[in-house]
Amino acid sequence: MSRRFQGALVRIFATLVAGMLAGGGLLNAEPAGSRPVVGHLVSKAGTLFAREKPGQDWKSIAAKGEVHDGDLLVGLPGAVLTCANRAVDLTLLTDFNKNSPYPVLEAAVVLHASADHDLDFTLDRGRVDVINRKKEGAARVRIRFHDQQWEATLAEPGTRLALQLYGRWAKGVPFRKEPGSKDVPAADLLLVVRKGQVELKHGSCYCPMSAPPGPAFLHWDNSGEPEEAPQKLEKLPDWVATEQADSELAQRIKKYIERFRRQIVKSSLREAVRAFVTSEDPYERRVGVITLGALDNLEGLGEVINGTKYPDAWDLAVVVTRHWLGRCPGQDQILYQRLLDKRGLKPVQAAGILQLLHSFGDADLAQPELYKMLVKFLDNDVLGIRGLAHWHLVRLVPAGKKIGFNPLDPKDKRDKARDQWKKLIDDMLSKRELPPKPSAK
Amino acid sequence: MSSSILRLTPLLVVAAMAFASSPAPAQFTVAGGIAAPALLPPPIFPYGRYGGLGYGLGVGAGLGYGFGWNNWMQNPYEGYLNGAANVTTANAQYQLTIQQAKLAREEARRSALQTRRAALEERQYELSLMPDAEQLRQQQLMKSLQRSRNNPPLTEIWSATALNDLLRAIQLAHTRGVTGPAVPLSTETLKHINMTAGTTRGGVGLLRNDGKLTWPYVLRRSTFDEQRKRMDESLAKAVKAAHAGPVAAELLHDLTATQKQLERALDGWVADLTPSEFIQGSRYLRELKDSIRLLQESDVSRYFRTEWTPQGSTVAELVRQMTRQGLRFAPAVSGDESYYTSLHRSLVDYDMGLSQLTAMQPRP
Repeated sequence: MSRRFQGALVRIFATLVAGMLAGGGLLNAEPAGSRPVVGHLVSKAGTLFAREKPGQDWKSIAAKGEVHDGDLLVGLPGAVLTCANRAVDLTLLTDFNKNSPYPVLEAAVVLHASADHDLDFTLDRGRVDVINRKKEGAARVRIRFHDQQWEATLAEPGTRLALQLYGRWAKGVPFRKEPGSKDVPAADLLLVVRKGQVELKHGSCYCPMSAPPGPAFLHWDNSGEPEEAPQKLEKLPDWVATEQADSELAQRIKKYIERFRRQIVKSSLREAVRAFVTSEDPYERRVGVITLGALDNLEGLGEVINGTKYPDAWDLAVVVTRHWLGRCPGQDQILYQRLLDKRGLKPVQAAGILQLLHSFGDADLAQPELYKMLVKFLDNDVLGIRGLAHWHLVRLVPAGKKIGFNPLDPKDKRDKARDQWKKLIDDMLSKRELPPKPSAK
Repeated sequence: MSSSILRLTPLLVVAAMAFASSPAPAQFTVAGGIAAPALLPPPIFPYGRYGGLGYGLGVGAGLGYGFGWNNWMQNPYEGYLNGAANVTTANAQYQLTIQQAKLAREEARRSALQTRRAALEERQYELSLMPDAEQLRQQQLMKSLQRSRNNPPLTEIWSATALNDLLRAIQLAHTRGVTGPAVPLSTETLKHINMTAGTTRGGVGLLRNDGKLTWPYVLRRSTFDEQRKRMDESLAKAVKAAHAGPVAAELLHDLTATQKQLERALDGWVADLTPSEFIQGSRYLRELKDSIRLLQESDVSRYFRTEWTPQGSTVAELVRQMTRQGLRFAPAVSGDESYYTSLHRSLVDYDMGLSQLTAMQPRP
């Protein structure tokens, strides 16, 4: 065999290998560098996105692709990861049936290398399930979230644990440019043993837990109050079995998520998001806008707020931004700074937007001035301010929905709608229909 | 004999007819051996031929009327009598039916009346449990009091709604001669409590300290300097005048005009204010408007007299003073909220003590 022929064979073989690797997506994966591989994607390509550091681009993990230590991973609902030794699966889920105690939009985790645990991960936000996939024996899992580190031992193969972490600014907590140590969003974690037995250790507490009927439920929050003991459940709550959700809504959400995944595989994550955000289909827009928030794409959310022609996308962008703000302390400061630096808003305008993205408390809602202020803000030159003022008004005074104020309309049209709002609010204030009587605590 | 019978025939027919027209005794209708009472008059026609038989024999033979022990043939008179008896029986049956029908109708009428009375009683019964308007008002007050006692929303404390609910309950207990425990009140707290006679929404509020206003941050901006200065000067003059009597109309007009200018100026700056700044400024100007309205009252001076300012070192003393003067609590002005919360706590403590003492009192 001539050298020339041998060289040609080597080149063909190399091309084939490269092609196979590319088909498997491995060449698309982040170079490992010094960071160890801590898991693999089990679900289809286009269901999981990874980012090494804030500010870097997101990369779509290919099928069976590697997951590296410390990467922030955001998954489409249904994305499944397995840890390095394949002893534990981690499923990223969402609230398909809209019946969860908290309106979870997306799930995000960080996997860590650990010699002592089969799976060591940080639950950044959202809903995940942890399953012991060993053929026999217990699986050890370390669960991190906020400042907590919990140890869970999943006693036998098939043992399954559901976790849901949600954060949000509590009602009436105002935006502060210089927040104190207590100015943090409220965070809640729900833990449910779905199958089998789990030994849970957190702090000095040791909690043997088991699936219903048994001590299956634990609730943690960052209020600083003593932690609760596990509560007995007779049966699993409906919101837990999200993957079995078969309502019409759930089916539709799943269909659009699959369509989104295919679009990602076909083009790229960036292109798919762009196409969905600007789609004529409201469900595609919904998937697109939620993904913008999930991927920390504040610029994208800003573009939706400033440029979309669809009121539903505008409205959802506000909800997604509020979710984003509630994830953890400091998010509101990041947005405030961005509004100053990137959008060129005045400090008073940026602070105004942030105040409107927080909620009003009972004391505020009892003031007639609040309603007058919101009506006056309908006239604001800053789209974000007038849009958010309207966003609150229709929630506080539903009777005004029919007026149909659209912050994206031209000024003369907006002025007419604003005048109608002013008349409505003045009438209601004079008839003492506003402010509403607050409910007793 | 036959000729004599023939002669008597018309007479017998008449007699039979007369007999038939009279009501028949029941025993005539009964067949089958029931004995006829002996007191009954004998048949008008003597059964001489069967002498000694009559009813007694028939019954004694166990055969009953018309069926003697011997099968004799009926003669025409017997046929008449038999027919007359049948007519009588039918007539009696008719009368009985009519009577029974009447009884049934009467029973039905009584039943209807009972039903109607029962319906009326039922309505009365329903009404007896249904509260009238006054009872409803009392229930509403009680509900409101319960809410004010049990950790009401802060906004209800600051609007003085909860304080006035408790005040009413304490005043009611005082009129019954029950006095609660000594719950102390600080002078500092009382300084920040507004009272009203009900003719105005607010109390002295911002007019305290001789009308020297404590402007919020947003209205301290240089933009508002001119109006603020004019308001300070005019208000000080007006309050000074109010101590002595009615305030001059020109001064009141100036105050109202300046307040409106401030409102317009604040509205003009809305784009440069955060929502909280705008709410803070607007609220302060509303409170200022309420205070100016109070200055428009002809007997405004009473608001500045000692007896119209909160007095007393305990809750009981404060309530007695308010009862004497016919006062109630007015809403808190900006900055006084914490004092209202503190006073609410004291009123609840006193009210709880009163409730315990009332429960321990012997019932008459």
